Amino acid sequence: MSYSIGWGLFALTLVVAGIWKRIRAARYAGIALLGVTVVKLFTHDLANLGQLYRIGALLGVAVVAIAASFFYQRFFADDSRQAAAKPDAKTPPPSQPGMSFMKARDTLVAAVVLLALSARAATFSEWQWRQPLPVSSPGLLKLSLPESTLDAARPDLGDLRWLTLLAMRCPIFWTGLFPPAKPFKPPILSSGVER
Amino acid sequence: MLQYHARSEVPVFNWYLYAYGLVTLCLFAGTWLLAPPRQMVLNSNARRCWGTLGTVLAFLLLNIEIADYFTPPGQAALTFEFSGILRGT
Repeated sequence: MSYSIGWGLFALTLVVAGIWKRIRAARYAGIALLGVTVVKLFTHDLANLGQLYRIGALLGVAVVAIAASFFYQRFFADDSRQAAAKPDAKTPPPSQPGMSFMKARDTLVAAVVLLALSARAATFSEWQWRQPLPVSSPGLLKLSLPESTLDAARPDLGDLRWLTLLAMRCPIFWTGLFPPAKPFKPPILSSGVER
Repeated sequence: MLQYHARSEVPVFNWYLYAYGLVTLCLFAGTWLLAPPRQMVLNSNARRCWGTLGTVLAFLLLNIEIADYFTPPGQAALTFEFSGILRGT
């Protein structure tokens, strides 16, 4: 994980230096390294991180990526537009710098919310209860849930998930479930109110 | 060299830093000194070459220092462990 943090900061430094010194190779190398870091994070690091560190890792990469894109748009794209606008006076003026900052801020807020929501979902390894069930042959099977599983699950069994050994969802058909509860209506014995 | 040269007991601030760091600084200093119109040496752009080498060496130094920090003290060689496990709540 430390390598990913170091690589991300190094990539951000390359992008900023490439924009500041106007070196195209440094900018492209920084963006490429940032892409490699993101791939490493998603394919390698997230599997080894706890939930809190996972949130921090994704937030860190999001901040670095947004900062890099902000600097790129703020300083490099404006210069390109101004250079392109010089020979032709009829082209519209470049957008105000404050607008790009507001866009970057809104994007940052949206990324933080999305990452927090996505990291909130618990993975299979973090489930509190697991009940292995023997499967003797492939195909359609009829299994009976143990009482301990029914005791640990919610009354409507809404939190039950069926997974294979490879943590893949498998289709199920419920039979013999609890009958739906009848609506309870208290009998009205008289028109008055008992005290 | 990373295999046979003994590590220091001091993390980060050891011979890796000043050996590779000084070369990196010299490469970037050469990049700065070879500003146009002095960038062409033997019909090649030496400024671009030094900058590329300095960047690559700085990236290698970054990885070496991270590995050195997480290698147990007293171990002779560096351990590049890319799968550090952090378990939180």
